[in-house]
Amino acid sequence: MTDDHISDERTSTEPLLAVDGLRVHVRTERETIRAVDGVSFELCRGETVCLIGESGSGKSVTCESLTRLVPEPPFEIVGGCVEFEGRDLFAADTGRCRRVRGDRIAHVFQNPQSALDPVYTVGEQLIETIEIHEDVPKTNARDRAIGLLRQVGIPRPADRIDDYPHEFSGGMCQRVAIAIALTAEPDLVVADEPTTAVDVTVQARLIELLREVTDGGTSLLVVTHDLRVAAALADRLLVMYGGTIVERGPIEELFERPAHPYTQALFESYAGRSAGSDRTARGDVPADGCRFRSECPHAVEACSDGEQPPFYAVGDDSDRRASCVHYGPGNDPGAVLEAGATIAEAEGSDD
Amino acid sequence: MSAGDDPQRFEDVDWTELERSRRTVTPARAVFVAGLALFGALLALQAAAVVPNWGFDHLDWITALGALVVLSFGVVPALEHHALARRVLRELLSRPLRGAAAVFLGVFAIVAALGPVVLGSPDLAFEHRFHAPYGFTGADRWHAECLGDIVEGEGITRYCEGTLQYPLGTNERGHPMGHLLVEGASVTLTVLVFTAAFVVPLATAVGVLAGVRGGAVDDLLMSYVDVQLCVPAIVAFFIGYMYWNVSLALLLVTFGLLSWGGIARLVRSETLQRRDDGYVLIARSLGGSWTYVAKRHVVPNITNTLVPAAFHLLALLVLVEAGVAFLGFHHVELYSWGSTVQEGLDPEFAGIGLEMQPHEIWWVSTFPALALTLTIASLKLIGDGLRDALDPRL
Amino acid sequence: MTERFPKGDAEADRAGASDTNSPLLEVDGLETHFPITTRWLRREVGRIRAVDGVSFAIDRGEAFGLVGESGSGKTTAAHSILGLEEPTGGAVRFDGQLVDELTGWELQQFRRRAQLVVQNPDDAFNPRLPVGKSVAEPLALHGMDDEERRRAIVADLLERVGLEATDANRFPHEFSGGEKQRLSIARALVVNPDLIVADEPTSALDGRVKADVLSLLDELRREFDIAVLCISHDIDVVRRFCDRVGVMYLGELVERGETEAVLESPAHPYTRVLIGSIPSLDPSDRSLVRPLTETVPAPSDPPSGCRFHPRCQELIPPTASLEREDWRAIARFRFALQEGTVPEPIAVDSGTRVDPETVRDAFDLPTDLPNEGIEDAVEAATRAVADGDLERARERLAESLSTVCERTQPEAGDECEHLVRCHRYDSTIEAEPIPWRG
Ligand code: SF4
Ligand code: SF4
Repeated sequence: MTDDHISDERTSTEPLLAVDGLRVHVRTERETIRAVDGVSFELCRGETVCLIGESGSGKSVTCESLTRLVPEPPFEIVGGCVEFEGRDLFAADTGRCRRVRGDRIAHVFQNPQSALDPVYTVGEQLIETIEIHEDVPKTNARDRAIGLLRQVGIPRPADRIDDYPHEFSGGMCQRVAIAIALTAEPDLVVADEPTTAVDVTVQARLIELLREVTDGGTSLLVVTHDLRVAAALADRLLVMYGGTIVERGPIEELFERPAHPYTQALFESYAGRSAGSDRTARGDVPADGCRFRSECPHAVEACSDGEQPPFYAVGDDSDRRASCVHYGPGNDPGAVLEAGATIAEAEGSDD
Repeated sequence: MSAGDDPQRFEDVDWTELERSRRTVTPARAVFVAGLALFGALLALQAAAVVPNWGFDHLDWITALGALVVLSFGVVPALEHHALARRVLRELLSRPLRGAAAVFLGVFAIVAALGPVVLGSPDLAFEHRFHAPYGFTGADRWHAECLGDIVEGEGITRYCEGTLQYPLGTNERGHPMGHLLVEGASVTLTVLVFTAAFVVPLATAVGVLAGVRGGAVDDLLMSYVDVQLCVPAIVAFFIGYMYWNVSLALLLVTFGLLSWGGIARLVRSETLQRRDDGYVLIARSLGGSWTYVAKRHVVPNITNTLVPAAFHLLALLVLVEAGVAFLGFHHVELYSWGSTVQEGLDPEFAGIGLEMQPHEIWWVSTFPALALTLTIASLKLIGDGLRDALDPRL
Repeated sequence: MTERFPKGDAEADRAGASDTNSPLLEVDGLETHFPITTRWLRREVGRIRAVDGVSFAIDRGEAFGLVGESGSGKTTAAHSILGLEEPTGGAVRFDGQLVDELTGWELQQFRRRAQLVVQNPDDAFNPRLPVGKSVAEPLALHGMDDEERRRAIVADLLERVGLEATDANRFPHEFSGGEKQRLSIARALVVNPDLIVADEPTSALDGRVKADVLSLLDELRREFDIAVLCISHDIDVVRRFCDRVGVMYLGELVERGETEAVLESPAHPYTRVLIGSIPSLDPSDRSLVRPLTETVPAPSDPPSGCRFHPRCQELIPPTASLEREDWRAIARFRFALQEGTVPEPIAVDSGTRVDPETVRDAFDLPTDLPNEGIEDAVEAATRAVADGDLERARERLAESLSTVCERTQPEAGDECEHLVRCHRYDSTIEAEPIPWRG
């Protein structure tokens, strides 16, 4: 499933980040959970990609594994490789990984209050980050810190730079976290649920701020569970379920006509209609065959064969791919696709 | 199903039929009240000289009351919730070290409670002083009468072998060490009962009250605790020592009542964290009183800090009692482990003019010291063990 | 408070509701203030006006949504209704009876008939109790002493909320967030209530689990004809679940009406900001509405007049002669200075001086305003800003840009069914409502 897509990706541009067959396990006393189970995707310069999925789908683990940020143990990266500008991040020594992580790839997390150290002022934290990345005298670093705070939209930055994180609201903390992420002028910002903990009006401003960041040419990988956030930010979408990516494609087409049955179920939950089945607690995701098959309304016998189905092109569009047998050669995806179109329509009228 | 033909679906419950339960008589309260009545009757009978006075002093009454509290609010509820109690016990015994500690404390408690009753006060037997434990020897020149075989050593030294009459040896007054250990255990048990029955509940109640009520109540209680934490209990004890009779009761009252501030603070801060939890809100919105909330929801959820802290306090007060006795500030008739250790370590003072080194009579100090150590270690182990056993997440 | 919310506000709301009988829950001018006190002696030095005059009514079986952002006071309002916080003013009536006058059996009945579902599934259950005990707690507290019967009822109920009867013996940490929320609903349901106050029932859940829990709550409410007060910051939840909705801002209810009407054509400028801030599900429409300024004032020191005025895009101009865009720019200039947000080029804080033109450009201020007084004030203020004297600029603008929104508190609108607390909907004030998305 991994080899067919690389050649198909937009080969015109050299990808900034290429993830191939990433597999991450969580080992607990009792069992080993396959948190990420063969994830492959690419991300180009200046592009915004959203990784969407529900809690437990492995989306955050995927992101944190890119730069080996996941705590090992209990997590363990058991396979796959991550290439940044053509260099293998996992093969390189950890020192280089750390440098890339700090300089070129920056992370923004869901809960900004915990990402900032409560015992230092935001200024101290910003200045520290600036001094790690460049050799500047203290006063210049401070000026630059104030500039960064203003850039991310903190009012009265010169006064507020000496405040402690608890004196900032959640949205403001997230802005500070973004400012810290931007100090090294990274090529890629990985934002994990950056707007989940804040109110909608604050979210709107953060979305605008993230758009400004990408307008400057920085790539953005956003992890979210919220289709609305994805719609507002993404160029391309990766839909994740049970540790694998089940559908990917350009945002507009995907929203117009979600192809994979799981994506459709996700859209349906926005329309307020539950999948209809009497699904109570999430059943365990099966270890072979299509991960979604126990909940899939379109499941057929072929779904339990072998591994997760490979990515098949959806329609004639070479960019759209769905990991579902109905899109395989010789099958007619008509019924499934049609279901997607109906859902998207219902959704649209609701908005 | 005992409910018979009562409807088993929530929408069929007839609410006007159900009276608000006012179960004021719980088994725990019943036992407590019955116990109090028994004490009262005994006192009255004694006063009326119907039964002879057994010479119960204040301390005995306090201990008896403490035991009653522990019985009715510790043992009875544990029997009521026997499933939980059994689970906790099983957890506790499943780890060898903690299991050993639990067994040790159990044996200790039985011996300490029953031992003095069975054995009575140790008799003076100066002629048998400083006998070595069975299987060891001590210098013979100290004895008026050596019960064991006499072994010839180098030169004129002769050694007296220990016998089974005094398996753990004797001290300078000829008290059997085993007997002294039991006496010391009973003193220690008194300290434990007093602390567990009065000091820990007081600390918990104050902490929970301050945390749950907040506001002025909190300010007042915590200011008091702050003041109390500044008064060294040992000073209070010495002042009391100057003016009143020295007694274990004085020690318990001064140390016990001045040392709970730390636990109260801990309990308060834990309570504050629980106060706004969802289940507390729900219980309050259902009309549960603060007392109900505290008992059902707050206290069970702060055991992670409360239990180890309480056991730490128990251990601490046992140690304090021994320490004060070691320093000599104790009642001469109380054979505390601390005073016994002191006698064994200071033979010049205790040995009535005999010349000897502490190591020559090692058993006098070693056995009580060992007992003390084991007790304190067991208390700590049980504290941690109970904490873990009470937490269903572990 | 009585002048601001004349008696009958809740009655008006009741008239708007579908049923003509007395509503199940009536909240009239509810006020909950928290004193800010000094550490010592607890002298009161201020008040946090968490809830400050909120009125609405809920009919039997109706779902009413209370939306607002964090700090708007919606949770405090819910807690005040249930008596978990002591209201400092106003009245709450349940089934026609004043709740704070209930005693004994009646209070007991109220506590049974009004149930709470709390927000965070992780602390909703006592971690030391098997969930069956927690779900049965309301039964026990309301007098059902028969433990077997409690167990049977809970077992039956667990199956009806989509769990298994044997789950009763498990502990809270063994359940997922969605399952815990189902348990929460079961616990609220077990005493057969007439009202469920659901505080952010799904905010900890996402995607399909959220949809499932919401539809469960919806089904149960219809089956047992339970009224629900649903507190949420999530417009999607309210849209899907509620018949009517109230929007809160800084402790006040600014708009109230049928869900459809409020969400599809919001009337109050704050509601418009709230709705317009939600990203559309259509990726080609990426516009997001902005308030005039960003900073949310503290509830301890709310702005005078209309509480939304420093952030209101539709602020009523002092004279009608101003173009809307011009006035907006001026107002933004004024309130941005007030909150201290100065755009990049000015950066007064680093001590550099700029010329007044830069200031005008940075704030997009119009030139040659028709109204002389305003032109002068703007001119003077730009110069003051250029000199780095923000204080003078603020004073100068406040002096001559006084608006009715700042001076007087808006009353409830004329329409009873759809309350909008905004001067633009007050016929005595010369300002027309601006059409939504107009
Ligand atoms: S492969 Fe089968 S089970 Fe999986 S999504 Fe497609 S139809 Fe459903
Ligand atoms: S009263 Fe004025 S400031 Fe308040 S919302 Fe209406 S127009 Fe805006």
